[in-house]
Amino acid sequence: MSSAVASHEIDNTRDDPTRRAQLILGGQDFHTVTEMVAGIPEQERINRNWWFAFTLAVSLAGMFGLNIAYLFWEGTGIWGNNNPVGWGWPIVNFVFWVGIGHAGTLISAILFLLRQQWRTSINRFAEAMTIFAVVCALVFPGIHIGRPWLPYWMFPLPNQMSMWPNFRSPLLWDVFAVGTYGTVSALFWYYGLIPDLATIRDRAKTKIRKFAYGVFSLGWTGSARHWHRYERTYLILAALCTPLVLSVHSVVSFDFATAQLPGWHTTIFPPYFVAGAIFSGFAMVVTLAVPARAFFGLQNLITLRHLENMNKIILATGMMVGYAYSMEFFIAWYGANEYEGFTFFNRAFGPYAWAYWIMVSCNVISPQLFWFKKIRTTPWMMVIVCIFVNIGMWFERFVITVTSLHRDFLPSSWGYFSPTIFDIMLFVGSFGLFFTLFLLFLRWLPVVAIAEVKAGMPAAHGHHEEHGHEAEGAATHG
Amino acid sequence: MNTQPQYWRTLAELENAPELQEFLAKEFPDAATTELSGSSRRRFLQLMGASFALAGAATGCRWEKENILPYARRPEGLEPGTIRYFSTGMELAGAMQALQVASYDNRPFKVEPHPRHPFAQGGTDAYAQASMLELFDPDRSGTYLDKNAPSTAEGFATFARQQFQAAKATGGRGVRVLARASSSPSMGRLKQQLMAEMPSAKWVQWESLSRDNAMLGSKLAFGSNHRTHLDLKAAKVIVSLDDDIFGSHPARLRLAKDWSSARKPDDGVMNRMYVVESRYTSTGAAADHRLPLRSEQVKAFSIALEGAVKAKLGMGAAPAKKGFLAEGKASKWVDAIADDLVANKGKGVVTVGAGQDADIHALGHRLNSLLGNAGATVTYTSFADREAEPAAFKALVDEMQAGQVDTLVILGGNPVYDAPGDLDFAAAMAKVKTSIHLGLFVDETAKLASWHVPMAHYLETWGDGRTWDGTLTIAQPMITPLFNGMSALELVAMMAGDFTAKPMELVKASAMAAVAALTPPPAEDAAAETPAAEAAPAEGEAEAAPAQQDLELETARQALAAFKAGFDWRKTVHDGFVAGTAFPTVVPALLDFSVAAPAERAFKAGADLGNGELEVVFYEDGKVYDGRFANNGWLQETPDFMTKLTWDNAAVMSPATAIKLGVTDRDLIKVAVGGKSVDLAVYVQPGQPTGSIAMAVGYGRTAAGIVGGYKTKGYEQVGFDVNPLRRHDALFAVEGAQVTKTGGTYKLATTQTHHMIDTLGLAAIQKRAPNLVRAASAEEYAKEPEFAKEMDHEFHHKLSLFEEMDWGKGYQWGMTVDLSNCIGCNACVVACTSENNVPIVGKDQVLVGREMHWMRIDRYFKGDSEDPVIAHMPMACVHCQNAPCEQVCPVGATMHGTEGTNDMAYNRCIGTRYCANNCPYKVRRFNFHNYNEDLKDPKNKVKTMVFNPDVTVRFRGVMEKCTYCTQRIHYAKRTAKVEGRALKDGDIVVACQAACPTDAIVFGDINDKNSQVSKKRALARSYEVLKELNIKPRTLYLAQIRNPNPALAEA
Repeated sequence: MSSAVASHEIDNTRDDPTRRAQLILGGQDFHTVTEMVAGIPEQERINRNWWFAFTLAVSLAGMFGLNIAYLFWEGTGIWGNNNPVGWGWPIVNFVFWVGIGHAGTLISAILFLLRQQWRTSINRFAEAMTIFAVVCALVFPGIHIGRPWLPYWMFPLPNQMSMWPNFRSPLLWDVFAVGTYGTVSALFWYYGLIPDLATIRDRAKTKIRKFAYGVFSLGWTGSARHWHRYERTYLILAALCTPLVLSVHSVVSFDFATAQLPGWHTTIFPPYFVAGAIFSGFAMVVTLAVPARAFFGLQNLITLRHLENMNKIILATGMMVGYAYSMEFFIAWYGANEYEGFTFFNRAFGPYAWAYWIMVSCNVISPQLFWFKKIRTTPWMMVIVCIFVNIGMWFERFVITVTSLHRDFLPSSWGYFSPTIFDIMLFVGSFGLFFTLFLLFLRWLPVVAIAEVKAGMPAAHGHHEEHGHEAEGAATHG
Repeated sequence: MNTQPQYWRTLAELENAPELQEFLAKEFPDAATTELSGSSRRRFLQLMGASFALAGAATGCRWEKENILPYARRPEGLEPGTIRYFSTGMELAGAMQALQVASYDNRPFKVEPHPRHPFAQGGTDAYAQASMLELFDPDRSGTYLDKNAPSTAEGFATFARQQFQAAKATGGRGVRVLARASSSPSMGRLKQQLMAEMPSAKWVQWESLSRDNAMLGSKLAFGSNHRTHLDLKAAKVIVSLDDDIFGSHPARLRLAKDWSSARKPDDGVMNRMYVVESRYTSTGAAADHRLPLRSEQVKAFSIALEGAVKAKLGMGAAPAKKGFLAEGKASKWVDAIADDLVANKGKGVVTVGAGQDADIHALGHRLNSLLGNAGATVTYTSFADREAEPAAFKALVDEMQAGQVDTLVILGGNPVYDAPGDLDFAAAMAKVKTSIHLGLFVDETAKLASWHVPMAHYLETWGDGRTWDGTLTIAQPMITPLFNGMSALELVAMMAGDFTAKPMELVKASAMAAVAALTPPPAEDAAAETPAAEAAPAEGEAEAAPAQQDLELETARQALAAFKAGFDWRKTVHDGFVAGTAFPTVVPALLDFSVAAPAERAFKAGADLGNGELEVVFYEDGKVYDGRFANNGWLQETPDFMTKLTWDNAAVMSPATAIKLGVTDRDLIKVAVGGKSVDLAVYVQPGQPTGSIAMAVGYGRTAAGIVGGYKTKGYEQVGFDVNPLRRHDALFAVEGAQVTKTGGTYKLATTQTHHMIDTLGLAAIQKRAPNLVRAASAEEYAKEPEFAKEMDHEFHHKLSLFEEMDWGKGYQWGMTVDLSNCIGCNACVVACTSENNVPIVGKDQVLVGREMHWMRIDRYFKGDSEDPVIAHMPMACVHCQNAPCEQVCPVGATMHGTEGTNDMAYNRCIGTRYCANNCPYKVRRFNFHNYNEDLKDPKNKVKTMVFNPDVTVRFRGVMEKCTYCTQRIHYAKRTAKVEGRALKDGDIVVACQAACPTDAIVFGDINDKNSQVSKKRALARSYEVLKELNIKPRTLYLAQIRNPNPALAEA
């Protein structure tokens, strides 16, 4: 018996039908969890490596800013966009980042509603990633327009000229969908942070820290009334977020699906985009969580079981995406539309075949490796697979956007798109922005939801005697 | 030290600013070099104006502040804000094109066809359209140059007085004038005067694209110089032997018009055209049958054709066919054409291209004579004898080399660039003591000349000339010379000693003389003018050169006669022509002559030619002509009809030739012929005869300007100079070319993916093209009139998500494009560029697919890659009633007008480019950069004058596209409203429609059932492109109907 317990302690990825798996390892109690998480922002000096990463990220973010400044100065022409290919990398990046920004809210909201307790270790992390991804995503539609100083014309702002946006345009729907999603996600994230911010405030040793965390914890005292209201609101926000998870990428997919361009004009896009978004979002969470947990010593909070669960989702959504790819081809053939048929054939065997096959190898073939438990549970291996997934998902958006545009109805207007150095720098720079925000988050905020993790620990349930023993009673769903 | 803003204190201080110096040099060419002594009020104002202009340019704000002043006293007849049209004409290589120029407040901005000219019957060419940009080209020369140092008009006058006085003293010994071909009677008269003053001087005429083989042919056939006129309206069968009648014939507009008017499939009127040609021309694309042959093969083919015709006419047995003529297509062709010609005796036309030898031209005359076409569909006018241009030019170069030329006056040409490779004009010019170059630009020749004189543009000065039929056409100036230029008339008058000649007076005198000649002279004078002399004007000159006194007397007599005949100068200028001045036609008697047998090699099929035996043909590509329009961005950026090349020429060869030579598209090759070689890039073009390489002339200029390349100023040359391969006796084709790959590739900017595309794409094009450009034979059309509509993809549910407007009310604009008539001449493309202020983006931007043309001509190849058929269609916004672009714009910048147009609000556009993505025709154009940024440069200020003031100049980041010339619609509506009436059909002529020589484009109100456009739309062969998308375009296409010969039907 004790050996079984021990093996659970060491390897919580083992499924034993008689018991629930442990989600928090290392014999943690409430105090050690607090210490572990709150200890990170409380460090006086942070590791050199953080500084190194931060400097790199800020430099890239600076490059991003300079690129945008040059873009304002010179115009859209600095990119590779051309006549048939009106949308290039900026839109690809936009959809890519919005997709990345799916995992967080999915984990926080849907898994919360489904009472998936394992979410608690990663939800803060994933939500932060979501928000930063949405920030990156929102930059692109703003700057990709020809006159980037005028994106506010897309908002329904009352004005003396009675100029009003066109509600028939999917781009306008985008404004609302992504805007709502970003707002609600940020709200949800911040709301979840309040009890933890209060914890750090209470432990603060300097005036400035006390003040800063004090302001943001909004006078949280931890009273039962606060907790009650907090739980209720959190539930409502989760319920609000849930449809948004599905809607935002559905609406983004409408940008393509409601256009009449062959290769865009397909009804499969909304579910296909949502599955792809979850796929890429989880891949990004894993890519970031593995180094972060090693860096901050959070292996006992973000355990292999968490990672494995995410990898399983990646495997599942990867297959959905694969299904969508094949179904697109089937419909293109079955629909017998000359133009659509050509577009798909051209994707796979035309001038952009290389991009198509990168996409298929990364998105359909590479996640299949997660059938092997060894790969699913070995951090460095899963990171490699997840990076492939992220590459593949970027290429998926590239393939959809560019290969459909470059050869449409009239062959006289066919063309070829090649990115310029500015396209590349802008894309790389957006990672700089993302990592800058993310590293600041890691440095100054609790990266794991302390209160929620504690709620999921056996210790939270008074009737335990020896943790792990009363697994059925404890809320350690896995 | 002094941080206060610097105010200029003295004019001298201001004068030192280098940018001001540069500005002045451009804007006030004389002012820049003359000493600023004192401060006259006029000079002060000029300088202030200049500094304000600089200040405005330097601030770099988006909206420049500009002060405009109203007239204190309005000139009579000037109504601000209304367009006025003035008659004028543009002469190119000795043929006048009658034009009207639209002018706003005395600023010309658009070239239009002449609506009433007896010869010009609608349409203009791309050159004429683009001449507006040439007029306002900031690179134009504005300074007299004395050995490349700035001088003044006075300086030149002083020099000229001395020089020509001295020349006169010797009777003009060693004086040579090198002129371009001219049909101007005024120039002819001045030339006579000059020759009377300087009997030893010589006048040499030179055109790099000389058509004098035709003249030599007529001399061979008839014994004297005759010009051939084709009546394509009456012709049933047209056989072109390497003659690009729609592309490079001086009468191309009229020929195209006549051809199209005899091609009305709906009325059952169809001519038939066979084209045998040495490269793929637009004439070949329009033909019912096309046979690609090398230039030398055309000769063999022509001889065989004559033999076959003679045999059919019972004049002996047909000669045995050999070589390529004995097998395959060519063999069938000889008999089929001969049959067709004989069956249509008196209703056929055989025409021979300028690149063919003189004896083939003579053979053409003989064929027309044998077939009874001469006098019916083919007529002649006679001219005085003259030496052929190439021979005269060579003689001149030889004289120059021998040091026999003291004074060389070059009237507007650029022989240093365009002389063929066997004549080293530059070296010869160095041996001339004094050379004077009159030109629009400081070009290759100007740089080597001792004097350069800026020339006035044809829109800046008076001129005259004759259209191809001989009608005297008056060119009046639209604006005072912008760059202080002088006209060729003035310079020749100066040479003859007249320093005060007024071009207007000269032109007026010519018009008077022409009117006087129309009225029969009194009986006692009749002896002086024989009918023969009247019938033989020498392309602008009378036959004999009478003495000076006689001339004056003659002038006075003509003035009197003209006065009696009711000559009205104002009316003549207003009309722009003198009616009844067309040359009288004659049918000269045919002489006996023999045609030299072609070389043995000519009988070889192209595939059998080895490297070293290849043929190179040189052609005019409809853009830069012989190089004179090289600095014209509108023309450089116009895609060649066939190759879709912009900003370049190339070695155009067929796929088979390329495979044989082991080269592919964009490879750099060296082509060597007879010891001379040029390096250029390969362009693979299906339909080019195998074994032959076609090269457009006029590229590779080293001193054209910022647009066309200027080596010493660091502007790269555009394209490749192929003149070194040409010979004065072989201007259009040379044999025995050796091709070697030099390694490396070259970027060619095409606006359409072309032949070298992946097989997947090629297969899709083959599948789609017949459905996009629908075509049938006349026979099929008669049997199945609705064939075009039947090709529509079936769709049953015509659902629209949105409520449609009521299209039954008011004006509803629509357009039809008749594919049977389109010849791909590009006039519409350039006209649209001019009318709508479409920017030029340059080669780099075309390379990445960002050309801005609102109108383009799509072309697809069908069938065999060695001998394909071209399907082409002009394409611009089709104004969908269920427009996909309108639905996706988030800010509503593109919306539907109540008159059915799809409108663009540039101010509202933020540039999401979603509309362009969703446009199935891909006709929307996006301003990726600020393509008008060069206008900030003060020296480009003159360029702003070319803009149509009715059309917004778009900023970067904004989408644009065809508006159906909305400014013209509104202008016409305003005019009608002022006149208190409704619009009539024909009140609105859109720019592309106006420029179209074949009336392929028709625009109008589709609610008016009697309008032209409604009638065209109602035709059985009208169809919507991409109808299956249910987007309801307003532009309908009329399917192309060809009239193939059943005997040549493909198996």
